[in-house]
Amino acid sequence: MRWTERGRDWLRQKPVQRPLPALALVLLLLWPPQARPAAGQEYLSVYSPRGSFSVPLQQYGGREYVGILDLLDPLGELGARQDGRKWKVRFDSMEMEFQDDKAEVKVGGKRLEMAAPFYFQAGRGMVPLSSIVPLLSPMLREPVEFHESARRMFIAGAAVHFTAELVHSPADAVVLNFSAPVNPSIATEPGRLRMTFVREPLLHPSPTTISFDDKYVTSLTYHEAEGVAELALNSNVPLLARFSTDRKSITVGPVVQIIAQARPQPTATPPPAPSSAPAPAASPSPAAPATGPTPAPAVAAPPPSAPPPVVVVDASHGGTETGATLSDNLLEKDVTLGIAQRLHNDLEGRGLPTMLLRNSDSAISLDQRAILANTSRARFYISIHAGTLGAGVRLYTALLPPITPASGPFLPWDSAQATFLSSSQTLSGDIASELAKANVATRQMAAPLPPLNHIAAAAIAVEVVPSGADVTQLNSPAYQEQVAAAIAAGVARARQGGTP
Amino acid sequence: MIPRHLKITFALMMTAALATGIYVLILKRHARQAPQTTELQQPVAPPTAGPPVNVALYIADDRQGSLHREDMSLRLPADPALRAQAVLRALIARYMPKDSPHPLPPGADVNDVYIVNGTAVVDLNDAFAAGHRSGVLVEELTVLSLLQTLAANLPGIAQVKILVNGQERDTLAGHADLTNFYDVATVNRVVAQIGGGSGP
Repeated sequence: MRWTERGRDWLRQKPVQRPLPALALVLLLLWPPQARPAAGQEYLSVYSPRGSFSVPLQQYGGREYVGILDLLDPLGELGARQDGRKWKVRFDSMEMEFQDDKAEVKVGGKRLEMAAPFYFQAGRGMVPLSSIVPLLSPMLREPVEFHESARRMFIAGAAVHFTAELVHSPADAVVLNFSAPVNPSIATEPGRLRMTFVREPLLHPSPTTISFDDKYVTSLTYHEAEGVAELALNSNVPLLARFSTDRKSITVGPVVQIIAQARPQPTATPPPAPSSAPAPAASPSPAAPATGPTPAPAVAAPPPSAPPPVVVVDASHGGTETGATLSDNLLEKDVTLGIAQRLHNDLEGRGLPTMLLRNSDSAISLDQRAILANTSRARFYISIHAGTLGAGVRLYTALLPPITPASGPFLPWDSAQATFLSSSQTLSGDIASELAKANVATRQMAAPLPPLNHIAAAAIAVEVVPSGADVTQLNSPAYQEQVAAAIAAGVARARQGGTP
Repeated sequence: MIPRHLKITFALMMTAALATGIYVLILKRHARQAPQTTELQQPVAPPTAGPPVNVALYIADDRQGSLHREDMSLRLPADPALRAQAVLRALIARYMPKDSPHPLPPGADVNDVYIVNGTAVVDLNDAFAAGHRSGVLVEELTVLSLLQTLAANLPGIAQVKILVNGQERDTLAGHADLTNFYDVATVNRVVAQIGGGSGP
């Protein structure tokens, strides 16, 4: 019996015999498979000469789908219209024609068969991810390289390539050279420093491990997954990454050697008058250490002779440690980085050798910040924070119980700051005076704020707050520069005042 | 032509499907609300045993950036640890209303307080730290408020350590140090310093 005859027989049955199968049929029709976001929301990263972006993926019928308009919109002129069950997309001069629940699609008049049917969801036309290359290539008229397992797509040859080289001078380190500027997130874990490239189309022919004949940095691993590329440097000692000023080179090596290499040289005769124009960074700055050792039980006390007047500027937070969420799209780690970079430039412009502890979105532990400041023999340490309570700038010194300052070659780790607390308060006072001159409301107080207690130098934390109710002021270049310039003037004043 | 009884059956089934859909939506909404109704939003009320005594609470004020003292009468148990816990819970309860001068996250509470030879260990619950606002001043005010209130009502305490759910934690919410023992005399000095709350 053919299915049509079976259907007619079924319709001829008495009504009482039909309700149950009919109800099941209706419910089945009313309950189509629902598209759902992939667990943990997956994204496709797209790199093109026009820029990098990511688009969300959906799971449907056991396959990954992507919105075709989401993909094409950032890449050129786009139009779409619905004609009954047909859906037409025009991109530049090319047209695609889809039909709901059909795998067949017309691209520029040619028929293509996708791996799974097209479907609509909330007005968005969704196509199977595995069929994206044959759809896009004729539309874009440019080569499309798709790494499906890593969810990364490269259009028109967009790519950043890298080389890795082991160098022994001026220090043992691995130098990574990139074909374009990069700004990876840097994270650390025992025995490894990981650089994650989200926006950069970092590309290497295949997952690679490069071994180095070095006693510190043993290997470099490249792999891509989940829409990002990652370079991991494996080591048996704590590592530090240092960016070149053009951000096309990253030097990774043992902390002590990189610090020694990056330490700014003191200027013999600083300019007599401060310059208002910020100078470019004179020296590259360390970005992120790896494999934090157990905090040192003691800090080497400064040598008897006066140390070079290095100022360490510490942009608090970074990487996955975002600090306070100041508004829906403003994180404390970004504001602190902006202010710290301006302060770095202002201090260098005043002839004060300055080291910026973090100059990218990298994670550095609190203990590592203290270690870096102490090993650089800083004379001043300024930690930058941002907040929303109150208005103006708050200056914090360490909250320490009265302790007899240690004498001898080592200082206790937990109270290394005790010896320098009076200098820290003087520095705070000098900066407060300069902020007041710049009409910025200030307040000075003590706070239990790490890593101030561990710093063997005049150390303060600065919490920058908007002057009014507008939180976005924290991201304003004018406000950041106003605050940074006043802090730099305060540091210059403290230095001239003879603080140790 | 579709027979009338078929039309009626179809209409009935459509109605049943629609009603089922609405019922499912109602059930989903109830399921979403269920955890909120069972979650503890405020600390348990202090025990009522013991004679009423005057308790000093040091209340943080975000707008002023300071602490101010408020006195209240509370029945406290004799055991110092339970007494400390009751005082801190009374303080936290003060921060629970939405219009509080220093709101704490819903569910914030003190798990336990241990007192040994002048050292108090305050064990906060997960909700206290996980939902706490992040910022230097806001976190410092919370810590100072807890410590100063504890010190004011249990005079024998010289230092305090704060844990979160029985574990040591680096900071409260990214800023205030929780790794060290707090010296009560130093806290007292800082509270006196910021008491006026002038400035930003």
